[in-house]
Amino acid sequence: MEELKLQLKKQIIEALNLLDITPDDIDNSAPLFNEGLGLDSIDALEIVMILDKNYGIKFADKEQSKLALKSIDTLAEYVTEHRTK
Amino acid sequence: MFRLMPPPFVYPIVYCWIIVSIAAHRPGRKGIYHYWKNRRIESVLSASKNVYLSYLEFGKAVLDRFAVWAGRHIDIKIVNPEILDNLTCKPGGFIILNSHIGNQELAGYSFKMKKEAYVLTFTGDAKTVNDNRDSKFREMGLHIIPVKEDGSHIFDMHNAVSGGNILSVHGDRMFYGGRTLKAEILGKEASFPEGPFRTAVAEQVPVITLFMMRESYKEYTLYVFKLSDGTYKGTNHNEQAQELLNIYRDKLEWILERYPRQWFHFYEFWKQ
Repeated sequence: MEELKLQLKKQIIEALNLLDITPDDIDNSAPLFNEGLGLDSIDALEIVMILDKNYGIKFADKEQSKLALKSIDTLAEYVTEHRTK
Repeated sequence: MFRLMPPPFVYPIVYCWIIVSIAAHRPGRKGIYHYWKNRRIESVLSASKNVYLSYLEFGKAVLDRFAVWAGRHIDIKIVNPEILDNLTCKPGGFIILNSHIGNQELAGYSFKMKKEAYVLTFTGDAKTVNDNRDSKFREMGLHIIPVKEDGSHIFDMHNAVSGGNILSVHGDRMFYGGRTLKAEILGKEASFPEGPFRTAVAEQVPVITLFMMRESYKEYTLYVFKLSDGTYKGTNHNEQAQELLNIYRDKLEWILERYPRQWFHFYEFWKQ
């Protein structure tokens, strides 16, 4: 699970071009959006793309999807449960 | 009403509506005046005349929309139809970057594409659409994605494109979060919403733009332009989004040279 969290952080940093941030700077339990890492809906779309492209994840249930994108912890849990590749 | 009489019969009402609109809507009047005066470098007299004519063109475009909605036929000449044919016949989704130039909504009412189309819309607009035009939209294979404050519309947007459908978004109006891109248009820098351009480059699918331009109450020309095949020169999404915006901006300028009165941004576009 820790390896997956690190991988997710690296993929997010690369896709969002977060030049000044390293994986260590992202707290696994901190919110990714608004007050946490400060991401917004445009960034959310990039994360959805990462999950689709790398793990074959499709978000059908919006409420569940919002919960999954809360933090790196919730994201990693969701990927572990729903990945198809 | 439009089934029984052609739209020109209602034009006297439009002339009155325009006079009231111009008098009552100062920000819109000023915005369109500055477009003519500063961006198209017209004299005070000519710019003032064109403010009236721009409102007139808009009023006629709205009437045409109601007329088609009511079942009237219009002739549509399509420029570059092969671009649409290729994209709608092949598997895979694509994105249409729309604009507030010409009668865009009429294009949606006028012909059915071979794929389902998902249109990103303000929540307020979406309610109106749902209340009044739902059946016409269903008939044409159009679906509304309302913009949500919590950003959850992005799941629908991605599902639409990845499901091989068409995603239609406006590229020229700020309603998609606060992030902006800048580009010079008609000689002055303006802000554009970053969301549609970032979405397009992230999805890596073809991007086109459409301009449904009014020639008369029964004749329109639909211009189809390919903006991207889904690949870009830029090394990251920021650069790629700017690259796509610049191509889109070039097409806006191109069409505005030919149809300057069909610029339907009735506010200070260059100060948004």
